[in-house]
Amino acid sequence: MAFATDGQYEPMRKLVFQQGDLDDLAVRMEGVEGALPRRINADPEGVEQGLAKLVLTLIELLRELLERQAIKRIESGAVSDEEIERLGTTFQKLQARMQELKRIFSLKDEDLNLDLGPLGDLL
Amino acid sequence: MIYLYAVIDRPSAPIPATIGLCGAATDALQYRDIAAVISPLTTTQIQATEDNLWRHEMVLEELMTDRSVLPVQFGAVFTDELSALAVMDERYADFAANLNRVRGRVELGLRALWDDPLASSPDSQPSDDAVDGRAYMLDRVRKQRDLQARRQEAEAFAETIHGSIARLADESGYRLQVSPSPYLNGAYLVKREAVATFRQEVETLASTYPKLCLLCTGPWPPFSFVNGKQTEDTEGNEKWRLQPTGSTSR
Amino acid sequence: MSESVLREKNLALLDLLDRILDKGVILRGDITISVADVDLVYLGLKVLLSSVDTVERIRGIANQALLEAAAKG
Repeated sequence: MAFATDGQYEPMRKLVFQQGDLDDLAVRMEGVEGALPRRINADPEGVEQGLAKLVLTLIELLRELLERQAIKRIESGAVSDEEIERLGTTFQKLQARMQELKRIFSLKDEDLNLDLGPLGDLL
Repeated sequence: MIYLYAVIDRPSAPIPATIGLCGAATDALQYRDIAAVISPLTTTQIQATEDNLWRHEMVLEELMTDRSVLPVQFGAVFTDELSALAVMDERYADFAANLNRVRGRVELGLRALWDDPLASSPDSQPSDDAVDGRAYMLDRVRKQRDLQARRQEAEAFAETIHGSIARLADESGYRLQVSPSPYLNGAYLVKREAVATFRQEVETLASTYPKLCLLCTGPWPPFSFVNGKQTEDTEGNEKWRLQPTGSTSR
Repeated sequence: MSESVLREKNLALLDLLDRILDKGVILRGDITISVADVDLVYLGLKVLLSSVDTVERIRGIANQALLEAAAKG
């Protein structure tokens, strides 16, 4: 039976095979899937942070999409130097403001990542 | 209130006696030729603690010993049996199809991490106000290009890794992240009796690429193969394979 | 518990979390569990945005916004 006599599950049974530095992998799993510490240690402050995360993720999504569109245009050569300058300044300001907000809510870059399915990750 | 663990087939065969969340015994709620596995809840304060998560998982594993199981995401709570039955009714066709699809099969997970041969030295991010708009924009263009090259490289290797074991699975899929270093997270739907062969193949893979950081886990309930989206997908695992994508560097 | 056992336990848990919280049959019960409210909204957003159509649409909107900005500038 999966639960030992003391009623504890034995997670180790789940490891079929391993090789290499698993600490690196664990960091990656935690960073990418991200769930454990944030979800399990939820508290009232966490809820506020959760809402901030939601809103900032949306803003970040729009910023990223706009920036990627701009990059595409620049690469196709359809944008003048002056326009590049203007676009850059705008995105730079936006990014600076996002950094500020992330700091306020103690959010890391990867907290605002979104899995966009076949289109990859947002960040 | 009731908590819902899984959707199962063979509702007439009694389910194994297991204790679920809040120490309550599990029960089967039959609907046509399928059933929902539930247990009564005295509180909605169910937290995603380590114990609760493993408890949910254990209920699923007990069920999997003698029937087909669709694992339900943690945290599905209904006011009463009627509202749970309403969901069973609404999604009956989807559930029945998925039960057939995963019958006799388990999920195995493979994660792989490797060094990116194209990775540039960690770019010192210029402080934002020190650069003018043009430099910023051109820097972004360059970074996108670098990333594109790294992504292609990583995708090719991911296909190699994935391909070598995916042939042992009935369905499979993986996600790939490119940055900060390539990281593959794959899921494989494998016939129960093929688990040992799968394991051997992973070992072969490991010895072929001794520098790969590898972790294979399971057998799990078929969590990654039960969602409607993938069922409607007629191309089967091909669509999943379209997912190798990466993330931009930050 | 030795360090390696503890680490292996954590790896298994991380793998479980990846599945049990983000995958599996998604059933929105009529009650959401207390802690996860915000997370559920967030997960919902993830699901919504994962649809290619949605992303393409947003991309279209972004493109349009850029065109308009360029026209004005």
